[in-house]
Amino acid sequence: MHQDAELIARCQRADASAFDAIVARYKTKIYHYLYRMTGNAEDADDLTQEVFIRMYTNIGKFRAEASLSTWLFRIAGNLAVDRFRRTKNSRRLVTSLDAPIQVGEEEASRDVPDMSMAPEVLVGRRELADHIEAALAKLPAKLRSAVILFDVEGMSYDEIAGVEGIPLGTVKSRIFNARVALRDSLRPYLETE
Amino acid sequence: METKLNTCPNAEQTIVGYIDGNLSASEHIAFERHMASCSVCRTIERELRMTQTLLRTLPSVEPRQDFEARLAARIADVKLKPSPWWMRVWLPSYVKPARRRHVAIPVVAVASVVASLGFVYVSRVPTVKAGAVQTAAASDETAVLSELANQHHAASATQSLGDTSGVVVVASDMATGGSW
Repeated sequence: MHQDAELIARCQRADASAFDAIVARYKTKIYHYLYRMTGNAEDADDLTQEVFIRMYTNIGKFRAEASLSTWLFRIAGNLAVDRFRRTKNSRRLVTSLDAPIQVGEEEASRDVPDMSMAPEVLVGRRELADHIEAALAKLPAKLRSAVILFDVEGMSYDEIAGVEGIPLGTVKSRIFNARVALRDSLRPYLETE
Repeated sequence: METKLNTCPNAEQTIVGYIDGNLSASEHIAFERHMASCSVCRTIERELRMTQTLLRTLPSVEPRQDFEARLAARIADVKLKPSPWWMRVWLPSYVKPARRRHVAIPVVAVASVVASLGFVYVSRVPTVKAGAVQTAAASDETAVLSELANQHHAASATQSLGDTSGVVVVASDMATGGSW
């Protein structure tokens, strides 16, 4: 976008107000994407800050080959994947609702709401969102990123191909496979639609 | 009941393109004709469309209010890290930050070569210390004066100067420091 190009050029001339304008413009989008990728506000906040710090320190290397949006989302995606790798062995992103709870040396089943119940008897919209987030968290990062970028962030296939650095056909495949997996996780909600 | 996806060859990119409105007009019409006779694709299309609808119900989330303030503090920490000394050389303001590294390296390299050449040149030029010059000059002057005095005395050894009243000054007396 023309305005982005101008902001980038001003940033490269060390214009602090241009940097602030870019942060104001993209912070919510990037945070939203990272929140859906990581599943928690603390990680999303930390990584969103890291995206803008990376942008700040590497603004001089930015070339107009990609849009600013593509560049920022690519940084965000890479940071999210790095974070998953680092925390993979220390803690799970989201605990499976099917996983038993460890009580001393014994296991007990979780108190999970009956997924077959009609939506109106569920606690409400927040609970539905929790289940969608849990379903998203179960997806492999590549599928999750593609479906979030398309269905939540509203990017086009071409933009996603740019962010992920993959061919268009792979974008479609990932979106399709992600939706199929989500459909399977969220089937009780689909059947009551 | 779970619909199997591999029962229809259309069940992937065509369906996703159809749901997302990314098929051409002719592809769109052809797929709708296909769905009219394929219950598997009809079911998958309906379920995936509902899945997409569910995803879009996710509430929007916002970063914390103090996001910018905390970001500014973290960036200040980044700024505090000193850049390499050779990056801090003076460069004109029109040199973009991105290019500074590329410009700074040759500038520092050229400056180093010039400094080295200058050092070599200076070290090859003969230099005389000021004290030595003064000593040499003083020594030359003494020698000249001594020579002139000798010539004078040699020439006047046998010649009276003015009214000497019979006194003869011998040059050798002067040379040996004898009194007049």
